[in-house]
Amino acid sequence: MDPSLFWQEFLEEEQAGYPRKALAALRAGASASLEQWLRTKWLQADDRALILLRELMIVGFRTPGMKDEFLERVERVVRAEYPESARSLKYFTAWSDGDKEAASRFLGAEWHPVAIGSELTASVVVAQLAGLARPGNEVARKKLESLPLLPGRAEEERREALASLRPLSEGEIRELASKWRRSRSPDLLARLYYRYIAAIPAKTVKMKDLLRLLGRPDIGDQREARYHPNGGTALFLCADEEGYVGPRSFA
Amino acid sequence: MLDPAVNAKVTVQQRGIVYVAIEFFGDVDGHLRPFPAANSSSWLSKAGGGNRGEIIELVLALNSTIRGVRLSNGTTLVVNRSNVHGLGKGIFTTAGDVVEGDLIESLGGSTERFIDFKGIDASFELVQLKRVGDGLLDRKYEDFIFVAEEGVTFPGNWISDLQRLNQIFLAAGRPEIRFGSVAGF
Repeated sequence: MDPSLFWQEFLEEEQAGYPRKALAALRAGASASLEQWLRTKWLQADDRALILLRELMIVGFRTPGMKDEFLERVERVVRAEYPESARSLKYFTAWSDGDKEAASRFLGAEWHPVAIGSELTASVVVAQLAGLARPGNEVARKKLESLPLLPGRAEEERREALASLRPLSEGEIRELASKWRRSRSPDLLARLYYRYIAAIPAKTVKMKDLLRLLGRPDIGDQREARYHPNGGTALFLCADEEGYVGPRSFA
Repeated sequence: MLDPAVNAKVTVQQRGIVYVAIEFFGDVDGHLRPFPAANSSSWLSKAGGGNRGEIIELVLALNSTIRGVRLSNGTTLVVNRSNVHGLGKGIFTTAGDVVEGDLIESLGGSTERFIDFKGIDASFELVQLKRVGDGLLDRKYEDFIFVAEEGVTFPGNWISDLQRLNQIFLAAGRPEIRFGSVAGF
């Protein structure tokens, strides 16, 4: 792949929207020479190189040490500019793709919320914090809660996100499960999944207890079970080797 | 951004599935499964190895369930419901997109094994899509495509919701949601 030709095509496609074909080509034909060429773009502070480098990072850089270098630069921008600059929002995404733990630590614990004037910026911050808070990250959830009043629709989005992230009480879980067993409603199963099942820590809930709560699965047993609500997405559950709830998916 | 023509018309004049998104997990003991098991990962992250192919045509059934897919490497997958085993959401791309890694590897050797390309109820999925607490900006949401069965009309508030989501996606450096069409068979 000729880097300069690739770059030209990328720019043309970028003018028309998100550069999907260029990204697909990258995934199919990444090379060390392209990486080095993009690296020079990056060093010229061409932010458009970011999206390509991020893709290469996910595919796996061929050049030794490149991931660390890339993430260091990304982190530097995020720490200095988040969320004021438009590029810092994109850089945070790249950082999170490359090192979710560090990005999560920064945003959840180290970043001090500031007043955000732009509605769109605020919405992105809400979405990024909410994404980090999803697996039961209380620090990120509290940070989301502590943001100063947000402009426009972002405030409503924050309220929605917090409502969906609040852990359910045992009573609420039982009530929701009871309704689910009676109705087989996909929406109820989704609520149960995202607000309870997805966040069950390893080695804490036995598969048989979860199945008792959810009712008889459509397919499977205590080792592996599937629930198909009336239309919509299916729930897959697997037990670990000790019978606790293990891998799960709502897909 | 959304195609203004589609947006204005709202109705998509195509037969097909209503909503698709990419979310595959890799190979667990030889089968494609959606489980995020320790020894699997998104097939998208496994690019660089294995066979590759290009989806050239999706084959759809009248009940909005994807019944198969034709690949540029000559493989035609036909989904046999009696062999359904694993995947919940099915094929999440459109003609011309590249699929790679485990998916093709797994599909290449069989025309009916353990694959379920299942249609999804659109309204339900939109509810999920709107839940920013569900990791909206996670990489797994690589590609959103909305198409509809012939005559189906997207409610007006969907359009504004999706436009809003598109703004957030792009500002965060993620691909935008697309409206599109899938060739029927």
